[in-house]
Amino acid sequence: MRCRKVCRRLSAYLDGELPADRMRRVQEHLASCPTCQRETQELSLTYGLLESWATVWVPDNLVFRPPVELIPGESLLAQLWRRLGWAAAAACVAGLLVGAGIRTAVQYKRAQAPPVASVSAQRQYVRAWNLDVLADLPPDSIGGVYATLRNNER
Amino acid sequence: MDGDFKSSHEREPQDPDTLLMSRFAAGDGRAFDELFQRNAARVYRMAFRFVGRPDDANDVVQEAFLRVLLARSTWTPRAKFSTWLYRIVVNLCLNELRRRKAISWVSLDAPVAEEAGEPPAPLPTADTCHAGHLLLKRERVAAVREAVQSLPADQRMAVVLHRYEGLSYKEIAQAMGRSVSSVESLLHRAKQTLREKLRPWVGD
Repeated sequence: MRCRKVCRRLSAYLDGELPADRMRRVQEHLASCPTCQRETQELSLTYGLLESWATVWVPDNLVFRPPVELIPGESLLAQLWRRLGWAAAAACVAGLLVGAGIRTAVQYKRAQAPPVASVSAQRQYVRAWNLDVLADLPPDSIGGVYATLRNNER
Repeated sequence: MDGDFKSSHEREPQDPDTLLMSRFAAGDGRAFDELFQRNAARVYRMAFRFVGRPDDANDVVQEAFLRVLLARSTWTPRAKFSTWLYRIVVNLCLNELRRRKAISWVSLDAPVAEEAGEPPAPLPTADTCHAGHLLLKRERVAAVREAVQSLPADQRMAVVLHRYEGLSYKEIAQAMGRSVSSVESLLHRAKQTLREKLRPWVGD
């Protein structure tokens, strides 16, 4: 095995990660190659130096702090829907109900209000009820008679 | 690769963490607490060695276990829990790095040793030789830390997983989503770089 090939394998060789046959061939080469021996030693010493940084101080207050109150297994989307979706849905339903109520009230009001007719038409309508005496009332009074007769008609 | 996972998992009994995750998935909330207790420090150390800042390392811990928590309903024991957790932490660390413009430990505002992940400094003694030895040791640690954290992201991660987490090449490949030969190449290049950076310290 040539030096170039061995050099590429040295890291895995030192880490014991080579297959058995390659391991043996690297060992055979190293036995007779001072250059590769030196390379191996330097890599081994360098990697061993990393042990200097073996200790990392872990904070005492390392605790799990989830960002929201999560129910295990529930997705974040489900969480948001659970917290906000029902409120939004309730608001929509309430809005629809209020809108429907307003519409109903308006329609009822309109149904209650008699159609606006001219004074002469009002007098003519009143006479149709055989109420000629009332048909000659002043304009500001005939309107009330007319409306009353219209309501009675409904 | 998934096939190897499944077949080996079926042959071998489950490890404690995988069993705990299965219990958590089945509804045992205390199993999650135990998983955190057993693994949080390791995740923190790994993240700190990679991202270099205590607050960011803590963020990685929080995010990693948040993902564990949210995976409860979908968890299936197709692989070891630790392999899956490593995969999460690797991705979180690499994502953190991508978000940052630069990581520098050479700063006038460098944190004190305790905040930088170092154990608290020992009290000074009257023995100047001992004090000198300690100072040299701290400088060596700082040099190693700087050398590792100056590596390119993928090489750095391979070194952290191999040298400090004790993972095999195959396990590193699974955690990083790479081939074993790719991991071998990463570690080889990383060691070459580290040798040049730490040459003054070799043999001390």
